[in-house]
Amino acid sequence: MTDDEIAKALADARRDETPPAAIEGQTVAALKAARLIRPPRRPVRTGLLAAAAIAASLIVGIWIGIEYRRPSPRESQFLLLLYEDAAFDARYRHEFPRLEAEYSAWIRSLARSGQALDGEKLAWGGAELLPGQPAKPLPDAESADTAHGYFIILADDEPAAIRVAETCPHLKYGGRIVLRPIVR
Amino acid sequence: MVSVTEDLAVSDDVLIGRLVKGDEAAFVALYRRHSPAVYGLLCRVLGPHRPEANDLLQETWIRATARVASFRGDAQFRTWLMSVALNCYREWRRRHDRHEPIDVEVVDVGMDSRDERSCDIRRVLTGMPDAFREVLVLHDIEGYTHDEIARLVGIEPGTSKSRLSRARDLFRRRWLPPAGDRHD
Repeated sequence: MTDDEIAKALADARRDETPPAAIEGQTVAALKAARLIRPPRRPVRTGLLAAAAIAASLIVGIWIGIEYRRPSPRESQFLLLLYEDAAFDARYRHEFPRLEAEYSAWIRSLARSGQALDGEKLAWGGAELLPGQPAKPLPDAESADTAHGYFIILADDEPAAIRVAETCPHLKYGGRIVLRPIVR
Repeated sequence: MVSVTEDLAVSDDVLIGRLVKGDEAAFVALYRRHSPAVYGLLCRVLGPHRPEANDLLQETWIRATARVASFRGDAQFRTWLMSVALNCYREWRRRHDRHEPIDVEVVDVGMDSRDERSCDIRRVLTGMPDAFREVLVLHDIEGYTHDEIARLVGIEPGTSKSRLSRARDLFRRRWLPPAGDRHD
């Protein structure tokens, strides 16, 4: 049998599969808990209200899923780097969807109260760059020295930022957070 | 319960625009439209670890919904969603590989009597080592290039090519051989 015949046989085997019905409900519940979706609202009947909503969305900045706003010059920004070790991974490897939803809900809650700017989970991979050397790929493996995600929060000063960071669910699950002030 | 009947004929673009604003019905419509394809991909690439597909499907949708505002529309939504699913799979595999041996023995799975040929393929794929199966599935079934596989799985393109060659050899030996020689 040639490679082409194998490829054709395999391509013919491609087909969709219906997931268990319960997954839809579980996913919707997780998204609601993270406030990523909500039931439909009644349509706005007043043009004035719609105009006010548009104006408000411009004030809070670019709409990218949560109401991030532009920080004022007086506010300080802090970077939270999230780390997790092998024990964290072993304990929660089957619960990452729930943890992601909880982390999302936390940062969105901060964003709504004007205390957060950004946050992302970091993927595997990446590289280390040094002068005069080719980029060195980072080890594609679990490491307690590699950040797994970040948040950028706003606070008046470092003690206030620490108080906010202490509420991050990552600590509750045994993860490690490094807080660094951002120079502005 | 959210009614999505009226959304079945609505385009992805329109539904995505509503999902960015948190519309639950738009999410459910997109979920029902694309989940069978995503779930099929996850089941094929997971092989004997198929039960993990439930968690990974949920994780895929949570992550995709959190980032749907960054979807730029220069690729089809399903293509983008598949890449999110494969990122979730890749992270799962890194976690899994630390706890389980990479190579797995043949694990019997339930057969679907409606399609004997496809079922045989599934049986052979399920019994292959993870690293071979994922390249064979991604290249010959899903149609990804070696460069794309390298990026998705976190290996070099050359590694993807060599694994595909070895995977096809293994497949050739295991697919529809004489009964006593199947696992030689």
